[in-house]
Amino acid sequence: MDPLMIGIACMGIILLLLALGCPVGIAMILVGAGGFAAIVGIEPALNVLQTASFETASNYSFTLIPLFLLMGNVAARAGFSKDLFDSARYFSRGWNGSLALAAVSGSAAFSAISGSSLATASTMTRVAYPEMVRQGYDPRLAAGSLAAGGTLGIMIPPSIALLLYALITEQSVGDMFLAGFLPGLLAYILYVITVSVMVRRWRPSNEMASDQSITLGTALRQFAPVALLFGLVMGGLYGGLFTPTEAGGIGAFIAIIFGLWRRMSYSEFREAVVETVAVTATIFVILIGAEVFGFLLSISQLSFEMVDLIQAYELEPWQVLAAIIVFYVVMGCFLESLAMILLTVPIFFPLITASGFDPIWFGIIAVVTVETGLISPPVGMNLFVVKSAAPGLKLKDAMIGVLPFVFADLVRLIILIVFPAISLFLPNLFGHG
Amino acid sequence: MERVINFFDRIAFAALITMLFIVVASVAARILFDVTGGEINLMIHGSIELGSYSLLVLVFASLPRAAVSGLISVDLLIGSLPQKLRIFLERSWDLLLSAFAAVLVWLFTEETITMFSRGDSSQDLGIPLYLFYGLISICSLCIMFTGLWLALRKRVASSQRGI
Repeated sequence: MDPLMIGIACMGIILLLLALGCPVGIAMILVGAGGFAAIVGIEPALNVLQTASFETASNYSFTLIPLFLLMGNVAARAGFSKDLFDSARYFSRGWNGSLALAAVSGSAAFSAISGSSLATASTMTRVAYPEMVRQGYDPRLAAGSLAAGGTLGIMIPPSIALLLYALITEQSVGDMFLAGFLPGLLAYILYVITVSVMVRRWRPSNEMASDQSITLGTALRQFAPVALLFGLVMGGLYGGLFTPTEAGGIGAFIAIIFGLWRRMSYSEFREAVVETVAVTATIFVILIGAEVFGFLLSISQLSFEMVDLIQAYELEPWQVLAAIIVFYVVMGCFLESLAMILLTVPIFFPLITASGFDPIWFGIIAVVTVETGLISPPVGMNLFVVKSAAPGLKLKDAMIGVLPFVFADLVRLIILIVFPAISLFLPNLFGHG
Repeated sequence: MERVINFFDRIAFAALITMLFIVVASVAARILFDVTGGEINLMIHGSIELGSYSLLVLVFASLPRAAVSGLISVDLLIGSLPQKLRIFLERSWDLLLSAFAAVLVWLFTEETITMFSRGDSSQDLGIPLYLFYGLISICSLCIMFTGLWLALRKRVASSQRGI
């Protein structure tokens, strides 16, 4: 059979396996190796399997994945989230819906030390949701703001999604993180506006004045460790003091020091480590799958044929981009965020570069779209995370409450597409080519 | 099986802490080297190699735990299938993981023997490479048995376990 036809058939098989619940990484490994064997032979396919597994798992550039994960997991167990929420409550006092604003602000701040949306949503929900219920917040407003606030973790650096995109497309991790700053800030502003609008419709029935025992000094003290951790990691990275991998290591180390200072128990630290290693392995199964699948894409010439097809039909670059974004928005409702990036970016990346788009900018667009998928019903992952962390919350309420935030995300996506400078301003300022 | 997986957790734990220590110590040593104008040189020789192999051990030793915790998959479409079919599919994926690990056991064991007979060692530190290949062969064996164990044990379909 023609290699291209095998490549196309493999794409169909992989979608079928995913639909039947096969783990994403295993599906990519199986189909990638199977397709490669069908084109080149079994012996080379086994070589690919061995090389991809060994080389991917021992790639020094990838050491920053477990290190940044460890930093976020330790921070989640060291009680930073409670302090951040209390600190944000102080700064949002006097506003209508101050707790919802504090939840979004606390999530934004927590995102600066945790690269994971799910960790941010889960941690903040445990801290903020009970208080919001106590003050008579509508569950839709409470769950919506917490689920949406959690998604900031995927955009505000250090973000695991941006990190993976940079690693698989060989872009600078530093540039990707810089590019995520302003879109992350824009998301935060749009979420604050959304909360302000939502609170007019779902006014809290029992909103109490902020705890008067929290003074400006207390609020700043509660915020300081996170600011310090973020400042040291990012300052060291952009100040040329250390590489991205070292930034991850230093961040994890400082988070552990702060955790010990805050009397984090050994069992909490162990939990953080066990979660880190389990998530690391989960990500690496997909990374190995992406590597094996990449061999198939390369040998079957599938990506290049797609580029040729676009050129033959004389499609405009914006048409290519629109098709990819529609695909992401639809698939984002069904597929886990990191899996979607690792599965699709190797396929779309050649199309994007051939169409003349900036790879850093496209990374931001892809991650923003994936981020929207995290809260898009029916299967937005953050909705389930918030539900599992919020006793008594109905999934239906979370789904209704998050819709205004999905709209805010779509507005942001349009803004970022129309004004690429928002994403590229900081990387350009710091010398991105 | 849980005890075996816990044992591999500890190996992964040790690999992660080793990696963290190497990175932090390297940065500290470099800063000290710069500050003292090169007079104090405590830089770790082969730190990149150590970091790489720590990652290798970490990934393979933590795969059994990841398999038990659940690898990333799309649950939406199979949610509407009858429970028996869902359980059958979940068992099939566990067997598939086991089969993949069995292939790795075979490939890495062969490589271990080759490395041992050729006496190949790592570039910077001269560590015999068969040690790493041997270790990941054993980890792959554990992944294989974990997949089998997951496929054969009693279970409720994952979508019923709830998130």
